Amino acid sequence: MASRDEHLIECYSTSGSREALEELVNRHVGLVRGLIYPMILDHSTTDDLTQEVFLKAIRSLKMFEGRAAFSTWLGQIAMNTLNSHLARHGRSPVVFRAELPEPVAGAMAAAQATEHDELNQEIEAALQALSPKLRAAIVLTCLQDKTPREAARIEHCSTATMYWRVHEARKHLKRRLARYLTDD
Amino acid sequence: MTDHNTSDPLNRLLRGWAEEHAPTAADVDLLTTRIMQATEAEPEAESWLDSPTDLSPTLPATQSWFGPVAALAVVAAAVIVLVVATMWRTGTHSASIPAVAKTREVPPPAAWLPDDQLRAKAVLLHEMESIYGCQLNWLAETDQRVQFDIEQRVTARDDQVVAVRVVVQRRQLGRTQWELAWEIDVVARNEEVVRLVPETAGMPQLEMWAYALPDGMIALDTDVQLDGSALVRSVTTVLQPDGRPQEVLTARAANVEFRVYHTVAFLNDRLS
Repeated sequence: MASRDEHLIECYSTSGSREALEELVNRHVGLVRGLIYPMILDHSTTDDLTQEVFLKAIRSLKMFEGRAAFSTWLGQIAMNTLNSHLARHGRSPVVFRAELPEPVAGAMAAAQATEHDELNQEIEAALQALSPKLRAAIVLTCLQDKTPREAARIEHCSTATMYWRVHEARKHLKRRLARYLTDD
Repeated sequence: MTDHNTSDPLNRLLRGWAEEHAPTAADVDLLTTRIMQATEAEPEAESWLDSPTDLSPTLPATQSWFGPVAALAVVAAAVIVLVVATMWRTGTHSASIPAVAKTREVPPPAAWLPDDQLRAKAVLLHEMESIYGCQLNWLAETDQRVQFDIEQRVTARDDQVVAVRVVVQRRQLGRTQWELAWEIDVVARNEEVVRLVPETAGMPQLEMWAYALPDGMIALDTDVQLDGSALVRSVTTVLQPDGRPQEVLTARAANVEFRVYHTVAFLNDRLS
């Protein structure tokens, strides 16, 4: 049975167990990366920031008091790190992938691949067009499955404010992506 | 918000995109290894256990002298946030004409959406849906006419339906009696964008968006443009409860005063 996060933290804090630390990192690294990538839209920077988040978290493990889930605490560090990055570098332009899609058999498959690529670019452009706060709101609630209350805790704002940000973000995204939002 | 996470088309779209960009198990292992190596490479690694780190966002070193100014900026920002928050609770407004102080009168009878009218709208919606099915977008009733919007293809839709009444009143300066300038009822789905384009020049225009919050309140954005001799445009964002009219704007153009009321109500349970 997998150890709980708190147990792994205790193991590392008391005995410096690197195995416990590695398991803790491995367990959450995908989640943190999944939070950062939609905000940055660049794989290399996302990996750098993910590493930075974990280094900050590991240095501060003694500050983790267990009042919130470890993932929520980690999310707060990730958002602080992201905000610092965005403040330093501004809102970087979307870098669309330049490489061509993989060769596919048949014209229809090629057309589908092109449409799919276009959809991905539209989604990234739509996300990029949101302010960082609105983007964070939609990433936390939609992609990370956080409740608005948890998202508000991570973003240091009230739950009502978080509801409002989610509403605004969804409104902009729905307008921009309207032609892709069909039932089928 | 999470209860319709999997069924909502926007959520499905975003999640599909996110899954494509999610790291593979091998990527996760590589990143874990990289992080673990970084912990070893950092100086005095063991002292991490005893020296907590400041988790607040870091500023570049060149900005460190900025402390006192930053503190003042924080205070100023807090004041602005307070003002904006106050505006938001009561609605944010803009108008192409100068706004005047809002009255504190009881909403006029025309602004209310009584139960019998809501039931009638629910019946109308039901009948229209039996004809057009999922291609029906929204319905609007104004000036004893019904307009509706049909999608060429079957579209994704939210189950939550709201009825919205927008009432614009006007009066000449110095008069006490208000008269109805325009009234429209819209039946739309949650998060549906409604654009009522006038059939002839000079007729009013409406753009609207309603969003039901989990606590029962409804966020409502409207852009009402009354064309005519006195141009009035009301662009508002308000958060209001189910059923009670809310005065969202009072404004003046030349010698005419205008005021705008919104009323929103959930329609889903009116057919039962």
